[in-house]
Amino acid sequence: MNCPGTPNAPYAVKLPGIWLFSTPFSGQPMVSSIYSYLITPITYYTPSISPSISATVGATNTITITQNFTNTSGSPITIYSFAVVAALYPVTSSGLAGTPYFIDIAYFNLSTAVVWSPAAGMTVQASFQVPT
Amino acid sequence: MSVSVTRDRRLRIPLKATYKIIITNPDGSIAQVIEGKNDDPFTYSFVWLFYGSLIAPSQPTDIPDVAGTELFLFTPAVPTSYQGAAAAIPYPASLSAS
Repeated sequence: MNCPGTPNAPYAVKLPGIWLFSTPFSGQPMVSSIYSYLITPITYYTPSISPSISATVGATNTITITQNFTNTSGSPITIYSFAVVAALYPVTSSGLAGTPYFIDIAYFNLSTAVVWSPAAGMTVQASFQVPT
Repeated sequence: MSVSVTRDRRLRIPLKATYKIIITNPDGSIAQVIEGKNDDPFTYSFVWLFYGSLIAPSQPTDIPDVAGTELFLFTPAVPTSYQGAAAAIPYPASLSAS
């Protein structure tokens, strides 16, 4: 079904936040280019966001997104990069669609690949400092 | 002692993006901490989202979602006749200053 404003893509991860990848970004930084490398046999928990915004002249404002993960795959996983992904809800004549599109906002290549052992937990924080 | 400088003499700090990864053992103890930064963190799609949020483009722009679906961004609403994948940036074009 191809209704206007209705997402068709069956996303492998169903929530916005930080998405992990087993290959680095290169060229044009787009998640769609490395979507097949999305790390999925793990648990993605709901992210939290901590804004510290004063937005006066000369201030630096910090927005931090934090997310927890668990390696439930039973095998070590090597992480090369991650992306911050937002949910974009289409506006239809009857209001917001129930299913969002996921759009990548920012990306990070890790300076060194991380090998993540089975059953180990992981917390990833991404902070954006925005000067005014 | 504090030193006061005027804004145009102050060192400007651009947008800075940093990350921290904390890996914990099954017993909850910290196994590894990795930190890094990306001075240019924004993706291709973000640039077009930012652009579309600033103005009301006369033509829709298309960006890929994470799975590669071409998503057309309309402002301020998706035309009812359009049948493809689309989203709207509800720019308040009908508002004016009074």
